[in-house]
Amino acid sequence: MAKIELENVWKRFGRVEAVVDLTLDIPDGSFIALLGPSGCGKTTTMNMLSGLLQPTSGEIRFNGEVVNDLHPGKRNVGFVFQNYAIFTHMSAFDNIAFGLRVVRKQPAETVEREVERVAELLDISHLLEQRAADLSVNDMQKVAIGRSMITNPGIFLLDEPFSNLDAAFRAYMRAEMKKLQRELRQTMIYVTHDQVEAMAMADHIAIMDLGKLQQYGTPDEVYNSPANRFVAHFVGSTTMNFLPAELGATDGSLELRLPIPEARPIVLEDGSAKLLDEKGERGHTLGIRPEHLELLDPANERADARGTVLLVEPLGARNIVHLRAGEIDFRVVVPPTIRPRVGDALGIELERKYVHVFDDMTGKALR
Amino acid sequence: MSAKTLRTTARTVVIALILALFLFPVYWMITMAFKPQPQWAPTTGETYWFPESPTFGNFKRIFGGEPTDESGLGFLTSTPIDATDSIITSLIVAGLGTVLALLVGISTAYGISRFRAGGKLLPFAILQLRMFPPIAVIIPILFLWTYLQLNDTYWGLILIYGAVTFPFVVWLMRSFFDEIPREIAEAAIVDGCSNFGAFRKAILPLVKGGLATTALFVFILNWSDYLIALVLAGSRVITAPVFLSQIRSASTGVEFGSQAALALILILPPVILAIAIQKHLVRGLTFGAIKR
Ligand SMILES: Nc1ncnc2c1ncn2[C@@H]1O[C@H](COP(=O)(O)OP(=O)(O)OP(=O)(O)O)[C@@H](O)[C@H]1O
Ligand SMILES: [Mg+2]
Repeated sequence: MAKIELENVWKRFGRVEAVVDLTLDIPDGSFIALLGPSGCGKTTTMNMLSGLLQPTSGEIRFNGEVVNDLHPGKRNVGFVFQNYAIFTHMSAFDNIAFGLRVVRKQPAETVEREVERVAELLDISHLLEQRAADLSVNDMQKVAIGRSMITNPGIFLLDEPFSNLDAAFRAYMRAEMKKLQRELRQTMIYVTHDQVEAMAMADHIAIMDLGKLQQYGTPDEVYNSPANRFVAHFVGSTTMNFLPAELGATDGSLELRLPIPEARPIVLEDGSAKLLDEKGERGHTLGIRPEHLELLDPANERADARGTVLLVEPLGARNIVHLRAGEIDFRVVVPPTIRPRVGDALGIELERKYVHVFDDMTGKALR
Repeated sequence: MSAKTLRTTARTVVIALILALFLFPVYWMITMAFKPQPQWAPTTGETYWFPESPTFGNFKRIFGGEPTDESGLGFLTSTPIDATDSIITSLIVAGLGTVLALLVGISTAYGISRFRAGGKLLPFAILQLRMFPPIAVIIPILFLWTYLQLNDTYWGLILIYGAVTFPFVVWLMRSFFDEIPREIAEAAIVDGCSNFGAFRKAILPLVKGGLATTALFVFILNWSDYLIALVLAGSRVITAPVFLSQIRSASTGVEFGSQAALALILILPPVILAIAIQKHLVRGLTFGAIKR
């Protein structure tokens, strides 16, 4: 069990800044997802946590103790790699036993007992005698997980462990890992570039881009109050709608005018007007998730704007309606019972509560 | 005959011809080894395609035996010779030369593959060592070896064999190491291995096949060397190929029969080695089957 703190951690490879000034507190026993697009520094961060890489500057502490120079083998971490690193020349048993037997030189009975315990947890007891090279991809990944679990690490690092697996097995393993973490209460850091995976599994999500931490919060926080436009764009299964907006104030309320002919201004009455005072005349973008838009009859006076249907994507559990209003395209998520036809004229309403406003210059969310 | 069978037949004939071309010298050597002296050095100008009344006389001759030719001519005017020492010498220098090349070469290859040691230039600097014909550098090396008093010594030959074949080891082993995902070593390190421990326990077992192939290849190169052993040694330390070239007698000149007998013996160690590591050899040649 361990609490992890990263403080102003940098990692440079020559001129490449792979991790930029990362500060992160990870409570003992929590399940953290490290989320971000390819090349954002996720693996580099994991390698620094495991000790395979030293930070260029900054401090990494486990339980308050600085571990910057501690050998990976002494950090009590388990690491499941992006490419499952298993030893194809050994049996599944020998693979799982490696850490205990070859490195820690435990007696045979201990090794056998521990391997069987881990195999039981992962449901691979029947595969132990097989050569690792002959295992299916799915079972190989289970062996890789077993390998890193065997030493009972206090910290469990998983670097996109399931990205090579098929969708069904991935969903299954996701649930299994979550169950396992609940049981073992290890601190678990799970890297993924799949936001659905991160949302589904983690207590907290750390979102990175270009080596920088963009936001660190619960799934609920990153979904409902994204810190900036990047997070807003990256999180959510159907991408958020972004539209240029002109800000104005009327009697303490914030007014957002959309570049759509005959559109109603969006008036936010919850004291948002003070945003305007600080931010002056800069450009702004309004963001709203497709699930927070409502389709209405065009004659309905609640409609903020009107448009025509371009395309309908029926996804079974929900439909995604693409709507064009003026020059602006909206994505709207609706229940499967609502299925307009292409060319239909429809009204659209923005749920005020879920309207986000981003500063175009900094990308920061003002609301 | 259809066009297809014609083509198949033509192909078979061509392959047979090429094979014959390559295998004939081997055939000639094997048969020669068993021919009595009048047949490998016929005074009549006759050609014996097959040994008539085959004999072990040539073999006895190279191991110090008295010739037992029915001809009675025998090797009257030649002194007895014994190839045993030269074979042992060859085993020592070629064997240790190979070990040396492997030790240095494998470490270098792993350093280059895993840690990008020496940057982009080092691998090519090593490769270009192989671009000179040996004859171009052997004379300067002779001076150097004389100065270092390595001339005509076991260590002199072992060192030069190691140096000459180590680029092969680097390039062959590096390609094997490159095949292994870096996570394999990293996984072992996270488990608690040192860098060297990870190399020994996780990486080396994976390249066993490649290692065996490389070792055999390098051993054959060292074992069959003639030029280096002739120039840098040859009076005290005599390797088998050098010994072979010097088998001659006053009556017949070059003793082709005895040379063939020794040559036949000399191809045995590589063949035996190849058979011994056959399993790894196939694996080494089909490397790249590691699942990612
Ligand atoms: N050893 C290295 N030398 C130079 N640059 C590196 C090295 N390792 C990583 N980088 C660079 O650092 C950046 C972050 O890499 P990293 O592997 O951490 O990304 P990632 O988030 O894991 O991406 P992915 O999702 O593709 O695995 C990338 O731009 C990468 O090219
Ligand atoms: Mg990565």
